[in-house]
Amino acid sequence: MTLVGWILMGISWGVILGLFVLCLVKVFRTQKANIRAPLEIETDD
Amino acid sequence: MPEQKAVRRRENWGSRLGVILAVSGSAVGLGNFLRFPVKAAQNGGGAFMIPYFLAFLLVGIPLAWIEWTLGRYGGKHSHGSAPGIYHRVTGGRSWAKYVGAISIFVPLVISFYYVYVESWTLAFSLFSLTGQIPEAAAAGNMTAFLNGFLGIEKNQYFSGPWTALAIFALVFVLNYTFIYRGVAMGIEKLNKVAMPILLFCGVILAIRVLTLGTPDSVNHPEWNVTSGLGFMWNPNWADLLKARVWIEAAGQIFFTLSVGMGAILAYASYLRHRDDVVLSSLTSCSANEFCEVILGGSIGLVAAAIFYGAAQAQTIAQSGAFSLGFITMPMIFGHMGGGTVMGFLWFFLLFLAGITSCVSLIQPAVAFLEDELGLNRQSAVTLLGAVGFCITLFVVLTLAYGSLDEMDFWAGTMFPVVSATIEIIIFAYFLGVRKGFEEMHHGADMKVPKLYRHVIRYITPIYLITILVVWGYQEWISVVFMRNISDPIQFRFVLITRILLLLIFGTLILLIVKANRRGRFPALKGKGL
Repeated sequence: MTLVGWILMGISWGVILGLFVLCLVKVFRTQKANIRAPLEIETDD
Repeated sequence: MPEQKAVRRRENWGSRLGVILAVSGSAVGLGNFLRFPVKAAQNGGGAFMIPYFLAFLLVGIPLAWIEWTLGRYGGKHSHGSAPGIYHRVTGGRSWAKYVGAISIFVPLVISFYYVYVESWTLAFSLFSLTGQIPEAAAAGNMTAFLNGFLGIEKNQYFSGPWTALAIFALVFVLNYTFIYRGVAMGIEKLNKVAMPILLFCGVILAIRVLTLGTPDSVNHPEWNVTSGLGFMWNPNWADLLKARVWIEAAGQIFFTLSVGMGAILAYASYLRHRDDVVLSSLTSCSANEFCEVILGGSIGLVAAAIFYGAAQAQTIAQSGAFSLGFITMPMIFGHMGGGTVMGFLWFFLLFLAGITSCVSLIQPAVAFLEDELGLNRQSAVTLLGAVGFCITLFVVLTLAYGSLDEMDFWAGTMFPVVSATIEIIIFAYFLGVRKGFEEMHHGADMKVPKLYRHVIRYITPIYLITILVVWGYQEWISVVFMRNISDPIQFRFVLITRILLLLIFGTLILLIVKANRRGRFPALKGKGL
């Protein structure tokens, strides 16, 4: 495999694994015991 | 007509993890392990990942957020399918409920043939354990074995399609049993068990392939894991100049995330209104990508390149996803240490991916019958099961004449793109991005970047319309006008399949008319959310 191939594979795997793990951590941290009020969001458009 | 007052209490998911696993299970299907590697290898290898990730960010994630949001909103008003949801969010526009029929038609028709393909995977996992597949693979007879199993030819392996029919009946009953048991007790429990096992099988297979080293170091020292990965990942930058590669990448993202199928709408309708949709949706999308890129991209074609070399692997990729899964992979496992177990794990993984997707395809129609026509779940599932069994039997018996391919073209290729385009136009231009984002952020555990307002308003619709136009012009016209069929018998069966599909769609429209008469789509005086 070429160096560029390794880099593309590394970036792809890294991005997907990073996103997956980040989401899982957030899901397990934000248990529904801590229900929040609906977010106030800006509606400037 | 007044809205029906006595709306039955709808089910809810038992846990947040349950709904995430269920939506991930819906998205992770056979395509993750068979279609993705083939598409990547045919469209630039590593370079394919650039348009693929762009489509993930600009089409896949926004559509998933929209479907989760619309689904949860529909559930709040006792609608678990697109007709009721579109009627609500468009402020009661008369056409909206009929347009929503597409989002029931698509998953229902796919389920009619998907359940049959799913039964092949269970059968092949059993044949791997009994030694029939290793034997046929060793003799180089996998094509004959598959054709014999499907009843396309009589040979030393099978004297007719009876084994396939028996296993199909078993798998069919299994699918409908999970749906019959309900959302929390059936679908959620299935996914809570099946998805971890699927991940386990996928990880074991990926590790096995990536630790193969150089299997034939004497004759082919250049065929090894590094060259196998190189086959998948070495970029061909020139391919990025081809419009086809960008369209294929967007198409792959579109199909892999199961957007435009109506399944996410139905599943999200069983959320409580305070439940988060933004983070849950993103988690499901990322779980799907993990299964597709990291697991799916490390097993099939990488193993093919390790055992047969890059040139032969390219030929395998050209022969298509099914050939890779059902013919090439058993032959590869035949060369591999522990091949019998690996063969079983491969087909069992495909079976789990199939069953978790298939139940999600049946659920929108069940939700429609329950919510809009007042049937109880058991009656709805029994009715759909009876109709579905007859139609799938038609597919089984006319497989050689192209009925499955015809259904797959309309329900599995063309209409999902049409359905998603309608969905995003309704969200962005009838509901409005501002109101839509307010609804999306209700109970949200994370905030959607503001940039996505513009993405949803302009970029995703343009992306989808471009796919529609380009595929319509390049690939669909010849199929629509049957220019690709020369055999008169096949022509007749394709025509019969089309009439059948029209009857299904017509029946759905009539049922929406009936639901309307029951007061399920009341006048809303133009008020959306």
